[in-house]
Amino acid sequence: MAARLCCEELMRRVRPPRWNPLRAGLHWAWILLPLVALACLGEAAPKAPSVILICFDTMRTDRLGAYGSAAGLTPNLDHFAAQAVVFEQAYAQSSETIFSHGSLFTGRYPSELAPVDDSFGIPKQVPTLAEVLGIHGYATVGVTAGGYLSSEFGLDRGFADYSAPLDWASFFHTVPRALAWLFGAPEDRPFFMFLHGYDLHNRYLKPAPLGHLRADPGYAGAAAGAVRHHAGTTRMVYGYLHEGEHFPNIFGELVLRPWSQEVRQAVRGVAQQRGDPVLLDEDLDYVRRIYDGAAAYADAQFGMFMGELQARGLLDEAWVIVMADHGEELGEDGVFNHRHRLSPQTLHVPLMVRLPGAQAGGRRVGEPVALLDLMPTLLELANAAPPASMRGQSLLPVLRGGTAPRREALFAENAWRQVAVHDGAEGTVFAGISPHSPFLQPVLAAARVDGPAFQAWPETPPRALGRFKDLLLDWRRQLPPTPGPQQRISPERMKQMREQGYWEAP
Amino acid sequence: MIWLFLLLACDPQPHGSWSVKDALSASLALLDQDGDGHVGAAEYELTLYYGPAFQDADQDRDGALSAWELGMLLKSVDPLHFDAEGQSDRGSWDHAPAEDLDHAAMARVELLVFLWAELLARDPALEPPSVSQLQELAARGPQGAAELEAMLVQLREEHRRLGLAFPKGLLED
Repeated sequence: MAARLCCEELMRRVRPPRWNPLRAGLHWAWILLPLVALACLGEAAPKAPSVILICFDTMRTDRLGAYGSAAGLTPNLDHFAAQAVVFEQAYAQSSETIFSHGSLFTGRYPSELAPVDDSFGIPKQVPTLAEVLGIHGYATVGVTAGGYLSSEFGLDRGFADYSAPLDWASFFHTVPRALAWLFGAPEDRPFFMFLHGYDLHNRYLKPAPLGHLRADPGYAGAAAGAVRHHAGTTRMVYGYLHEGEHFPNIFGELVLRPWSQEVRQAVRGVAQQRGDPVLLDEDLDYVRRIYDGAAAYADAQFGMFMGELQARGLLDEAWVIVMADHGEELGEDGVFNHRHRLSPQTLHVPLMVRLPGAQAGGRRVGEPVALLDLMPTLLELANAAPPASMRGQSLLPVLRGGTAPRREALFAENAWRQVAVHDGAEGTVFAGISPHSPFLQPVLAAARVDGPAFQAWPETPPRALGRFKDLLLDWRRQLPPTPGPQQRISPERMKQMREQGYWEAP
Repeated sequence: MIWLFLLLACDPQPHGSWSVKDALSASLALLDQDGDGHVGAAEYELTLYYGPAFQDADQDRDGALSAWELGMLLKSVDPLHFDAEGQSDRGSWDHAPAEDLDHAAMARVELLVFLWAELLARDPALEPPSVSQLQELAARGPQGAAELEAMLVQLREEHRRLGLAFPKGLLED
């Protein structure tokens, strides 16, 4: 009978109104009256709102009009930006999905949680965002597109309802499931929804007509296969489509010394010897245009989702946050993809926060912020006490018109012990290698004698190097020791992940 | 109706508001390369890759792709399985539009379509009801609750059989 009543309700409307004062007034009076009384005394906490956090996996900022693009690829995200507070300088804490989300969901740097490698996970004693929100009365749901967000990797902890039915799926797959959840969403408490799509992740190519919006569908050049395969663009390095093994295995030196001209020449030499296809400018341009099509496709799926939220009356009461877990390199400095290294293209991410009713819409914040700031922000919004030792700082004051948190620098980490420093004073993202790398002891032993323990991109001002080194070492000293491995990937899953281009360690 | 959609595409959406139609109109405008206010066969074919031919995408046969028709493409062509590189096609299961249904009924149809599509991705041998049957059920309102419940129970069982999570809250037992 209960199910029948539920279905009758489902048949009556898309989603029941969250609160009907005529029907529920008496029921709620005993709760509201004390709150009103407390409010009169100035001590009442504001009602915790629902939150919808939407992650465009692998979205670069420079494809969005809101971040300066004149290409017009993302009309819906740009419309959203006009209603949101836009953080112009938001940075991810890793260029890899699993590490970035681990940081996002805990408010900590990746290496505070586990080794930044294939044993990464969230330790049981570290509370997650969904866990804390659940304790504070939130209904929690994660609707993800699989891959490293599959439950087996442990990022689902704290979500009462979590799904990842397909690997490397799209908003095409996840938005309907999110809407399905909203059909049955509880009326008597707020919810936290995490929605995720790999639309801009390899493989880039999306269906017609938006998939080839800016590219020639008749293209049959060397890069045609790369945009159709999950590991495709990882092989596009320094003008060649490298066949056979994935690039990190062959060119591990490139990952560890991305600035080295010798390494570049060696990479090209291997490709020439093997007869790998040469990539011309038109090939690289095709790949970028297919990525553009993926941006337009994701934008359209997002726009439809926002329309559904409006139809359900949620946009006047819920916070909607749009972000990316990392960006993507599209041939800058000769490299594609995001797994290989930390760079401005892989770490600078969109972050836009739409308050209920589009309050403060169009406001722009120029100070650097981090994705790990989102957890303390959302906990403060939910009137929840933040767990100890979180590195992030709440953005709620700036969202309410105040000033952004001040911090000396932001950091990011990736596999192979890569680290990056964003120094607000220098305004530069620096990529380098951690002095804690077990791979690099011989190199670093020499480097310690010769100067900085890491090297900069060519354009990094030399005077910044010393400061970056100090910032990095101070940061590492403040962090607790990295816990041990948190998981072991099954051999079958590891084989599958390797086929997608993961974990080909140098 | 088509011109209304395209007219909407020319104007920015009102500040703070959203609708599916407006969102799709904004995306449709990206395809209007000559800026004449509609997306005809030539513009559509410019972007075509392993997709429905224009005469199939233009379901009302008015010579232009509408926002609604773009939406149908976006909701029916699986980005994981749409070309020669994909593992399989979702099959012949039709996702026909039904503009005469109200929003709530369409949302119910899409919920059911989605749940069936999830199952079909794992088990192509399943035989789901036709979309027109789902539309008929969704349009029935509270009178169709028993039938909807039966279908949701069936869907939940199939999800369990295939190891898929079924959305919580749809069935209260």
